[in-house]
Amino acid sequence: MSLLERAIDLAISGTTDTDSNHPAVPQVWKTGHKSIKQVYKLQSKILDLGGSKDQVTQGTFVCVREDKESSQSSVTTRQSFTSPLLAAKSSVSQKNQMSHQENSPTLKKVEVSEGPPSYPRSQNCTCGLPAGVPVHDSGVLTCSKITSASQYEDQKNSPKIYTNLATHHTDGSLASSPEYQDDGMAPYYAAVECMKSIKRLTQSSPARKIHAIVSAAQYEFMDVWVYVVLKSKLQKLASTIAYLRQYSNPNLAFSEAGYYMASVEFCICEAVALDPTRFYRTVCCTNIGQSKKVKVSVIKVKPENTSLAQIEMLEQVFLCPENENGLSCTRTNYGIAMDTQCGSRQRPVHSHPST
Amino acid sequence: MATASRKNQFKVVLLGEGCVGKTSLMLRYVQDKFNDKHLTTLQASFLNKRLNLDGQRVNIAIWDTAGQERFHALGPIYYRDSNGAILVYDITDEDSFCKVKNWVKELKKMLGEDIALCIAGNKIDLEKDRHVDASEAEAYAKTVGAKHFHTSAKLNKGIEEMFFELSKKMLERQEKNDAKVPRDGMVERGTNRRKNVVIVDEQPQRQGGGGCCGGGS
Repeated sequence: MSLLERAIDLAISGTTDTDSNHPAVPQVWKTGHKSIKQVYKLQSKILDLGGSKDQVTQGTFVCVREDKESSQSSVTTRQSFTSPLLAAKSSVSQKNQMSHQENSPTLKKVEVSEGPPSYPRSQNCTCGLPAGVPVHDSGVLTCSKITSASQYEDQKNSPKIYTNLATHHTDGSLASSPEYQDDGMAPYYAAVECMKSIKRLTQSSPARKIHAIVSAAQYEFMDVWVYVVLKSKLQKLASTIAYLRQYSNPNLAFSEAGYYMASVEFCICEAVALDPTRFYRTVCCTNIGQSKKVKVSVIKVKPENTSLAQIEMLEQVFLCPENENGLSCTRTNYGIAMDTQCGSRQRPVHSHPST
Repeated sequence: MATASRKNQFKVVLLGEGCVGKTSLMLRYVQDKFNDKHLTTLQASFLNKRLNLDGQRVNIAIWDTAGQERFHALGPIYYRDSNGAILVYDITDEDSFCKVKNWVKELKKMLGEDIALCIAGNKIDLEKDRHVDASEAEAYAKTVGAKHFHTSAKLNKGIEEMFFELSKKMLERQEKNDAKVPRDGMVERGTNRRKNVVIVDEQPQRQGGGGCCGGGS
């Protein structure tokens, strides 16, 4: 933690910090607050780069290897989601690789390319900062990251960044309406854009929609996929997929495109299921007092979207042994319906909130 | 829903608990690579393999379900329309074998007898740590009509044979199905929209069309 603080101090040396001069503020609160504040400051600095945001967040060697385009960035982007250890390793090796060029101007850029704060998944946030704030497990790494982030300002005038930007599409350049434009810093920007293009091809054939999916699918990692699908904020995605399933070439199952289509479909299910209590909350049977009134909610489950384990769990928790609780269940191809016979109730049923 | 209809094209899914070596099996089979340090799947999720089986060219598309086990919605989407499934367990991990049993149950319930099953006891290079009884596993495989294989991606053992056997099984099924089609006629194939369009002339197609739409919705 102290390393991190020092790093932050280093990074913003020159700027005044009012909090640290205030005697009444407790130390812990102060440091916590301070670091958050600094990170936000740094974030805003990065945002100052305006159009370069996608470049910044994609973690990238595009700056270094100027002539490589998005394919290059897809490789490096994956690194930002690998474990912090790997990231540390790779950053060290990158430094080693570049050390022989110490006097060349590219060295600075390599550090810049490490600077972009990726948004790590929650388990990486060990520094006590709120989720979403760019942090790293290792204090040393954070140091290098933050100091290099501060160098963005120095790089601001570098024309090279802007030349690279020309190759990258942004929301605005693709003419999406402002409500769907991304105002945050978005990792996997390119993939999100590819997914979004499904929407723009509303009139076109399944083949073109599938092409959009495949081009977004450079990132096969499932967590990333869910993120990309969510971030692309597509409306009517479920019906689009239904349309594709119905009308696209059935031989897709034998090709990569089919695999990615299944992945997108899976992401929709996953996005819907992000609330883990959803499944449990739907079923709620209460009986208060000794009255014979039982409140029953009917759940409908589509078998094709539900795993067998889920159905079995439902049956076990609520329906077994059948009828003992005054509940019985009918399973059809279109779902499961539950009904109640109050007369045969032997013991009360309680809702089971999820753990 | 239209069903895929390309000849000698098969879709195979790899199912099993995390870290039993599904990706390793696939990579060893298709690319003959093995990586000791492979942690959890980040890429390599779909691969194609062509093989020659008794003079017939067979193309199998292998769908790896790596890293996705923890997502409960995974199953039905991925194994839908597949011709074969390889259920992988780790011989050093009893729990993974129980998972295989669950998968078999689920597949049988959802896809019926349409799918060819193979069970792979992976990591036999770690024989000394074996926690799943080999004879028990084989007996279980027999009861569910699956072939059991002892495999090791590290030593490249049993993998060729397994995919070969599975392909043979799928070919047999395909031949059986092809033989069935003319006898069963349109009613059975009502769900196969594409087939209808190709084979049938206009008059009967319209009649069958109603049934088709009704089934699809």
